[in-house]
Amino acid sequence: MKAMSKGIIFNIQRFCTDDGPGIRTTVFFKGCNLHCAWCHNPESQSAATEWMFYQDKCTGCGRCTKLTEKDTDFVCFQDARRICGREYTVDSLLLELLKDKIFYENSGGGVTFSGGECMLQIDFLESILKKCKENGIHTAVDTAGYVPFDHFERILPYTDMFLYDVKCFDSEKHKRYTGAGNELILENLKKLLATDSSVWVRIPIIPTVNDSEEEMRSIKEFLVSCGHPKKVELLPYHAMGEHKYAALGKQAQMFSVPSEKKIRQLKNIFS
Amino acid sequence: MKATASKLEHLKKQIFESDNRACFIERERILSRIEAKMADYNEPDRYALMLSSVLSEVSTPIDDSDYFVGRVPEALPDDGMKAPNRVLSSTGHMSFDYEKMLKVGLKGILEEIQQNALIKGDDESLSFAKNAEIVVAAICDYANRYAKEAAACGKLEAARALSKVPFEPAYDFYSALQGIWIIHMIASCYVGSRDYAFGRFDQYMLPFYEKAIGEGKTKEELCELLAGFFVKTNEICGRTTWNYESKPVLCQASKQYVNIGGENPNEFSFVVLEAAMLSNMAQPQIVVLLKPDADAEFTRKTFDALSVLTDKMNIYNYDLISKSLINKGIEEAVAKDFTYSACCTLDLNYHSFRREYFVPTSHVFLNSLESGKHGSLEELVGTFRELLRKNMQEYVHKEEKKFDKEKQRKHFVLDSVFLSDSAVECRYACDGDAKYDVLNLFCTGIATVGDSLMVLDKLVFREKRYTYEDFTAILKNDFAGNEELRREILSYTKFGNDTDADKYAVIAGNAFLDAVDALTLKDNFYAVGGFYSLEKDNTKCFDLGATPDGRHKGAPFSENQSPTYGADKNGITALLKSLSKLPFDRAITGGLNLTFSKKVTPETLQALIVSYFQMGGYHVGISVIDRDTLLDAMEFPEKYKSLTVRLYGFSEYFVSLPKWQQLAVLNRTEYSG
Repeated sequence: MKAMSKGIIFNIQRFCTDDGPGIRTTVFFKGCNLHCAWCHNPESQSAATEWMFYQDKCTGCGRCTKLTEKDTDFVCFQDARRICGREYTVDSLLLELLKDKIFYENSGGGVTFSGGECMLQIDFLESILKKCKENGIHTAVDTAGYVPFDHFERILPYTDMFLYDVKCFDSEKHKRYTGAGNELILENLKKLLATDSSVWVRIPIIPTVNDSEEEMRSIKEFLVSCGHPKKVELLPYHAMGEHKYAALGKQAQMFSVPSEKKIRQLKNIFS
Repeated sequence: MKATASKLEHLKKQIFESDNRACFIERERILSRIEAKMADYNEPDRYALMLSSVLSEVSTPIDDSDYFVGRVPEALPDDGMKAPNRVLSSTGHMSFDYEKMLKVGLKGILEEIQQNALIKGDDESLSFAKNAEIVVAAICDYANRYAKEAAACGKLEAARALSKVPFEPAYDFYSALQGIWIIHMIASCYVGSRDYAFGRFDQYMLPFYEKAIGEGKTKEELCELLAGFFVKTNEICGRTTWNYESKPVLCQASKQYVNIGGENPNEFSFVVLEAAMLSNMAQPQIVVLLKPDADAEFTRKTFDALSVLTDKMNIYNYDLISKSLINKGIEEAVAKDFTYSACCTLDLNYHSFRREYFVPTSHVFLNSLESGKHGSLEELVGTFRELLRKNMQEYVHKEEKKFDKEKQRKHFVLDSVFLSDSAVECRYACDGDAKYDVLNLFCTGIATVGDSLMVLDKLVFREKRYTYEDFTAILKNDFAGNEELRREILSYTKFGNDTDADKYAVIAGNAFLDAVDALTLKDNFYAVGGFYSLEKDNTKCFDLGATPDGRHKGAPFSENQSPTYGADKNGITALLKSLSKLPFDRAITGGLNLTFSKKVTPETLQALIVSYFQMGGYHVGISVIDRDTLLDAMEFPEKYKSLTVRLYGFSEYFVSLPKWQQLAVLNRTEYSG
């Protein structure tokens, strides 16, 4: 392991209550090897730092017209132009994570490493997980699972739980919407469920893509055959990432938002 | 259970249907008739005789659904009537010694006063005792009349109770509550003052609760009775706010505080929380004095209740506050008996007479800045501290003069009987001779001042980008022609984000508290500083010039202990960490409001607030706000009569607020996971 490894992080969100148990700090790693059509964090996809520009906030003051790629310390007074992605050492990240330790302890929470795909920065991830455990912090890793299984094996000793995304069961469809088939993902999940790890499976519900009852049943059968995750969560699609596509100069692919009734129906399949 | 629901619902419905323009008509008519007649009476008799006249003449209405009797007839004021009449009113804002009243009755209290007056033998004490005797007799006659009326209506338990209490000691759970209600109602409505509080309710009611359980009553039926008592507290104060379309009564918008918890939460503390959830109206405000390491079950129950009652509940850090009071030199038994009432204000329960002063801190800060050139942050803070001290010292002198005047006006008010330390001394409680005269001194706009210090330190003292004179000139001109500078300042990380920027609010806070400590006070005066502001003080922002934190002239300054509007960007955990850096071990009055945008779980609330208290946090009041509901309530107020929101240190009915205030509630920072 490289002791001096650095991670590239695009957001550290304190007081998250939806990414595992209790009050958590979620660390968003930059870079992903899937490109889901519904991704609500488009800034997570590229592994490089990039500028985001929010036209609606700009007052046209002109301070940023001469910026170069190196001016990462630039602060726009309107927060209209901002750099996305910052390098952290293990120690500088740990310092951020320790800030809310008292809240983790009183709520049964901890830290969740998410992304992008945090497993793509496996050296850094392994180091920071290890540090967290040394400091008595509960750890969760949020992954789409499209990485070699030895990545899981490396972090298993320091990871208290996994949040594991399953997007759709049909590999062709999976490839069409995410850019890759799902064989490796499902195989890794099966292997992971065979370990002692606590696993919560999370399924984004995207209308017209995977919101059918058959789809959910197929996923459920697979999960049952692998020996049951601890919990299954359905995450309804939302369009809140749209403005971020615009800020990156990209075009968002839009889906409709699933109804509460639909989500209830699908949830029942897993209950 | 169905009968319960319908009885409580009926009482609630009546409250929402009552006319907010109505006054306590009989009181007003009687007082306007006798006031002129008694104008020539010498003071010692006048107050007691007038109160007796009122109590002997008013009617004794009873509603079929009443759990406890005691109502005040209401009607629109007569033509030309100037309701409400203030001739009998005192300052209110205090907690009565109900524990003593329940134990020895008015009889016992009066005997003690009379004995002490005889021992002391001076005119003032003797006249005090005489007044007390007249007033106690009048209350007993009134209670007896109510007992007869209750018997005639078939309410036999109330009839039996009122033929004994409040003159005799209470003999059971029901008679205790009935006795308290009669006194509370007379003080609030007939004497006429606001914010009488119920003190350490769970402590003094426990023996009656235990006895009732021992005699075979169920927890459920006692809880229902208590809910019926709690609903009554809403009958007297109207549904309006204290600053907007007031009901023409002296207890309008009176906040009804019930304190529980502290050193020893008990079985009855749980019942109080359950009854409050059952009644679930704007009043009473439940204050939980919570030890960070309190009994796990009580802590759990507190946060379950908080997630239901939200804005109607306050939680204070019991350990922090009792320790600070002991450090102030207050004897331990009294220090541990503290309560909070009336807008997050510290009270030493029935031991103290309490005053409050909202110090125009931001104005004093700007005056310091403009008073001459300062070469360093320390120098500026030194001037600020000294001007604060002068400002507060002037207030103290004014108060001293005020109670000289008050003493000439009255020698006695009903309240004196129920503040035991004053009663023993046969002294009018409000004349500055109370055993503990507690001055709550509020630092308003702490974040505005802190952030301003940060900006000055950066731009003027450290980076020297502006000279002192240039920067103060920019402020004088309200940033005109310096919009880019102002935008830059607004982009700085401010107080509330768990960063180094927090240290400036701490410096400002300590300067304020040092000024409090430097005051010259009479021996029985205890000055307690804290961070708090009401909007009547925030409206003082209109004449406050531009501040270095980028705030335009006339814009609001920060509320309570909160960061300036929208400045906290790192979420609630960061905010709580920032707040916990404030010197709360010295600042034990005032409050903090937090707004959540969605239903947070009780577990999450508990984790947040217990963590906050472990870090040295002092108080939390929360709102759970659903924007869509509030917007709909603005459009269709008739559908949302019972919707409450949190303001400053208490809850108010949302639809009763003026539009600007409704918008202010909508625009607060909301926290969600």
